[in-house]
Amino acid sequence: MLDYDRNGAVAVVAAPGPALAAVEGRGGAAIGLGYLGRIEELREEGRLDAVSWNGDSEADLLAFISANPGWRQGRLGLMDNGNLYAVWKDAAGSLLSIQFRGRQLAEFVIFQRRPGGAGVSRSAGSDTLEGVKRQVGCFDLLGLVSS
Amino acid sequence: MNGNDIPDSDNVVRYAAPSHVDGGEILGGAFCLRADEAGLSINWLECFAGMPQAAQLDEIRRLSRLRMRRSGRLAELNVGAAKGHLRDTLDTLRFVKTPLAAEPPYDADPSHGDIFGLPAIAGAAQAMLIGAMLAECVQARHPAVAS
Repeated sequence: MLDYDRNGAVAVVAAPGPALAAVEGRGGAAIGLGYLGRIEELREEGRLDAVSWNGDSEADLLAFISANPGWRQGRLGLMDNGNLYAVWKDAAGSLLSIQFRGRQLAEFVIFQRRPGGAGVSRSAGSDTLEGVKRQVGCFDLLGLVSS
Repeated sequence: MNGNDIPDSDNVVRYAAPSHVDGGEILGGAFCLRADEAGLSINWLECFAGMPQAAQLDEIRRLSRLRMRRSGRLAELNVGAAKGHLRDTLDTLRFVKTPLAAEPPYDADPSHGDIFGLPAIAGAAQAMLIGAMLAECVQARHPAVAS
C-alpha cells in the first residue's frame, strides 16, 4: 500500500500489492509514483462506490506501463465495471484511451488529428494489448504517448 | 415538462466522480452508462432561469441526490454543441427533461434530466468512444462541492 500526499507529489511503497509484486517479479521496469498514487486513489474511490475492483485489470495496466518505459504518464480512471483505463491526449485533439480488461485484452479508442487541419479520424475496438500497441504505431501516435 | 427535450441553446452539467477526474481533467468514462442505466443523469442549468450561473449551480448541488465528493467535478456541456459534435457518429442522442418528484428526505428536483441514446453496453469500445467525444464537449468544469 502507499502513503502519499493529496497532490500525488510524494509516494512511498510501504508494501506493494500483489499486482505490483507480480510485475516486479517479471523483471518489469520501475513504475512511476504518480501512477501508483493514482491507482490507490482509484482503489479507494471504487470502495466508496461499491465498484468490484478487477485485479486482472490492475495487473495488466502495471505490466503495460512497465513494458513501455518510454511512454509518458497517462491519466487514469476506473470504469464502473471495475476495469482501469488510461488516457493520453494532446491539445490538437489526438487521443488514445485503453481500458484494461485483464487477460491481456483491451478496449481502445483512438482519435487522430488529420494533417492539414482536415478533421479528426476516430476509431474504437477490442484487441489484445499487443494489438493496441500495433494500432498506436499504425496510427502514428507514438508522439502522443512518448515522454 | 417531463420527457421534453432540453433546448439546444441551453446548458447542462454532469457530475463526474473522482474516478473519472485526473489532474482536474474530466475523462470519457464520466459519460459512459452503467450496466443498469438507461440514461446518463444530468442537470439543466436554465431550469433556474433568471439566476446567475453560480446560484444555478448551488441549486443543483442542493437538490442533487448524489453524494458529490470534493475531488469530483460538474462538467458543463452546451446541448446543441454536444449533439452537433456527435451527429455523424451517433444521431440518436437526446437531452431530455426528467424532473424528480419530492421523495423524503429529498426535495423535488426540476432540473434533473437524462442523456438518452447512448451505447448501452457498459465498458464497450463504442461506449468509450462516445464518452471520449462528450468529454471533448466540456465547456467548463465546476467544483462538485462548493468551497
